[in-house]
This record gives sequence, C-alpha cells and structure tokens, in this order.
Amino acid sequence: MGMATMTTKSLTSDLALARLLQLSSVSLPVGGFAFSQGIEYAIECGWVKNVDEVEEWITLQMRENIARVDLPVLRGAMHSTTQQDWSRFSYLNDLVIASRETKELRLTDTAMGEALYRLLKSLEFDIPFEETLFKVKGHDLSFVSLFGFAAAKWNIDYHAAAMGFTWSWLENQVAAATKLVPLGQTQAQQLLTKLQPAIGQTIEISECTLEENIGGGLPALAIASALHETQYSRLFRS
Amino acid sequence: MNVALGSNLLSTAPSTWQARLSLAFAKRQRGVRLVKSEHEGPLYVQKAFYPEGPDCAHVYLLHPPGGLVTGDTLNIDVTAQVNTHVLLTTPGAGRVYKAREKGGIQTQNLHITVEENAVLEWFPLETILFPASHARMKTRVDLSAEASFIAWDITCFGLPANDVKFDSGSVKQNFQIWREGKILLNESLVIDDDDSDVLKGCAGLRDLPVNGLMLAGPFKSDEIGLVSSLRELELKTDVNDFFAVSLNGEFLTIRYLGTCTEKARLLFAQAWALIRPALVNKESTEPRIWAT
Repeated sequence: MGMATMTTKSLTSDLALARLLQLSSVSLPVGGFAFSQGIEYAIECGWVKNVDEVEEWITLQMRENIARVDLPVLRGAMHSTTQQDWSRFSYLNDLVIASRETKELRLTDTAMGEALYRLLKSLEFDIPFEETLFKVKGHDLSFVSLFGFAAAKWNIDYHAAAMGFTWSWLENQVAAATKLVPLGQTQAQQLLTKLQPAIGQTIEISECTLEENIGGGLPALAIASALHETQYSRLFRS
Repeated sequence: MNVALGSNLLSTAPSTWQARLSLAFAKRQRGVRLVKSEHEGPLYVQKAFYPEGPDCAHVYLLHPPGGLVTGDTLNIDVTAQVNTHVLLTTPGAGRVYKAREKGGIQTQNLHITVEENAVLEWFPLETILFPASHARMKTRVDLSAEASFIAWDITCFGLPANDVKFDSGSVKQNFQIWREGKILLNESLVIDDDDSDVLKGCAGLRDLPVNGLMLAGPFKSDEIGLVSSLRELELKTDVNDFFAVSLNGEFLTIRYLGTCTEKARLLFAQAWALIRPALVNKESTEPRIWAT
C-alpha cells in the first residue's frame, strides 16, 4: 500500500514539492544540528564505535521511535489540521511529548518545536490552534505536530511529508555521528545511501500504527540519553 | 469486604480466566479504609495492613494461579479517593507462560485513579515473560491536580537463572500517566513476533534479561537536588548493569537494564527511600512481605 500511495498520490504540485524541500532542509532554522538524541553518549561510552554500529543504532531508532511515535503523530496532526480539529491536534502534540523518554529527548522536540513555531509566525501562518493549545501557560510545542501542521497547510500529502520528516531527522543523526565517531564525509554519504531503503519501511510501519497504539521505546537509548545529561564533555544538547 | 460476583467464575474457554478486581480506598475517621473490593476470578486482596499507622494502607494483590496462560485477561481497577495514601504490592512474581497456540495473547489491564491530595504507590514484584509468551500489559494512571504517584515495573525476559532466553514470542507494554485529562507520560516497549532486533540491539535491551522502569511525581522543580542524590545510586550499580535517572517533564524516570530482578528491585527501593520524603513527606516503610 505504501509504494502504491507514493506513485498514485504523489506531490500535488511543484510548489508543494519546493515547500517540502524547504521544511526538510538542514538549513531550516530550528537547530536540529544541535541534538544527537543519545548517540553522543553511546559513542562516548563505547556502545557505538564504527559505521556499522551507527547504522544499527539509527535503524532501530527509526523503527521503534520514528515509525511508532513521530510519524503516526505527524499523520494525525496533518489530518486534524485538514479537519480543523484543534482539540485532537492538541492531544497529539501532548502525546508525542509524553512519549519522549528523558528530559533531553523532550527538550530536543520542544526546542525545535518552539523554533518552528516562531518561524511559521514569521512566514505569516495563521495559527488557529493557539487558543486551544495555549490555554495552559507555558504549554510545550512539539516539532512533529508543527511540521504536520505546516505540511498540511502547504498541501503536501502524508507520504511525502513523512519522507521529508524522516530524511531531515536521518541527516541530523548521521551528521552527529560523523562528528563524533568520527566518520569521513564519503563514509557519511555511503551510510545515508544504505539507510535510505529503511525510510520506506519506517513509513509503512507508521501507516499500520493505530492512534491508540502510538508509542515505542528503546531502553538502552533512553539510558544513554539520561546519562548524557551529566556527560562531562559534550558537543550536543541531547 | 471481598465480594465475589456471581457463583460461576467467568471463563470463555477451557481453563482460561477472565479475572477482574476493583478496589477503592476512602479516608474515614479511623484512617484509610478499603471501601470497595469486588472481584471475579482468582484475583483478590485480603485485609489491608497498617505498618505505618492508620493513614496509609498497605495491600497485597493475590493471584493464586501465579501466571497467565493463552486467553487469560486480568483487569484491575484501583481508586485512591481524596486524602488517602495507598501502597499496593504483590507477594509473588507475575508469570506469563508460553502461549498454547500462535496468535493467542495474555492481557493485563491496570487502571489507577488518584484523587485530590491522595498518594498511590504501586510496587509489584517482577513480571517474568516465558519464551513464546505474548503479553499485552497496559497501565493507565489518572491523577487529580494535587495527587502523587510512585511506581515501578520490572520485566524479566526469559528465566536467566536457568539460562532460558526469551528467544521467541512478543510483548507490548504501555504505561501512561494522565492528569486532569492531559497525557503526561506515554512509556512503551514493543517486541514484535519472534523479532530479536530490540532484544539484542545496542540501543534496545542489549541482550540483557531485566528491564526496569520507575516513575515518580509530579515534581514542579528539583529544588532539593533529588536528581543528583538519585544519581549516586549509579555508583552502586553492578558493572554489567545500567541505571539512569532523568526528570522528564514533571516525572522522575528511573531506568534499570541489567542481569537480575532482585538487583533492580533493591536499587528501586533505595531510590524510593530518597523520593518518598521529597514527594509525600514520609519515610519509606517497606511492606512486611518484602522481608520474607
């Protein structure tokens, strides 16, 4: 079903494609480059030592976290934006933040979410869920739900949006590993090429995940992220 | 106090149990009382104990079969009403046995409600997942604005003492905490049928048999440096085990990944001794049954 959707229901227009590229670009000023999401500690403590172990780490993270948490929320956020169902949008925003397993994984999502919110405001987006979401002062915003909001407003279909979202996440993770392991630039490109087929599988899992089953976890990754909070010397914020 | 509903214990297939237990605690003049205890099937509680005095009830959940077979369902519902303090534990490990046939699942649903100014503590012994079992464990906690909750959940994959690995089967665990209709935590672990990637993976369980999670809160901030005191327990952790603490939103999230359920429980009990005075202004008093 996944691939069929992609070919039959591709991007609606060149404009939508350009906007997807903008939203997925590493130059989107949301600070994605500043977060390693636990891999900095995993490398520091010797769990991840070479390019093969980076590949294993990222593949599992993509399957358990991106496929079971981020993408199903992205899809729901896009759908509720189209339906203008802001209470559901708000629930999904809270759900994805609640699914983050540590303080730093939560910060990764909310700091990028806050940055994307400011960016969308400056792009003159009308943000109709503000009232629902900001009833509670200091309400956290997730990058995932805002990405979904922008993608729906820009008429990007789910499959393409999921592809863009996962790609930008993947690029950030590989960039972090490149600095930390370290890997050569060519090695990093080879790794990205190897990981690309997993994006399709990730999206397929997300499409089979019902909203009430959203959730996934990796115990050692969560431990790495928690221990990163006190890592003595570090380059990344998570 | 115990009321068995109906004379026939509900059973949908030969030797499977659809057991249900519903408990409520209320503050009375003489202290915290068990005011509702309804059960169907082999799942019940006896009287409450009061080792800390009348304001905190300690209650043991009894499940005489000791484990779940294919088709079994346990539904547990507990309410701590306003101004109560309840500690729940189990006298024995929970077991989820090898499923009789492919596709058969074993289910436990736990729903906890903690009302205004109430405290609920949930400290079951470990759950042992036998190879080829298919556990579906769901916990949902609903808190009022001023309610406190502390819990742990320790899962043992296979029988490490007998060198039996959890090398087939599946698991779905989900633990949610809500407050006044807003979701605060959504912890999950999913292991698909006969899939070893999470069990063995470097980011997953690293081929270690015991996974423990402890949750406590809410904490508006960490003014007393509780997180750093808890982190000192990392030093007491065996070299082959991992232990980590994070204040995730308003909830302390403490994880153990390692070799031994007993070590997990001892570390969590030490964490509890630090958390309890900070969260509910009481010293920890271990249920008597833990000493036996």
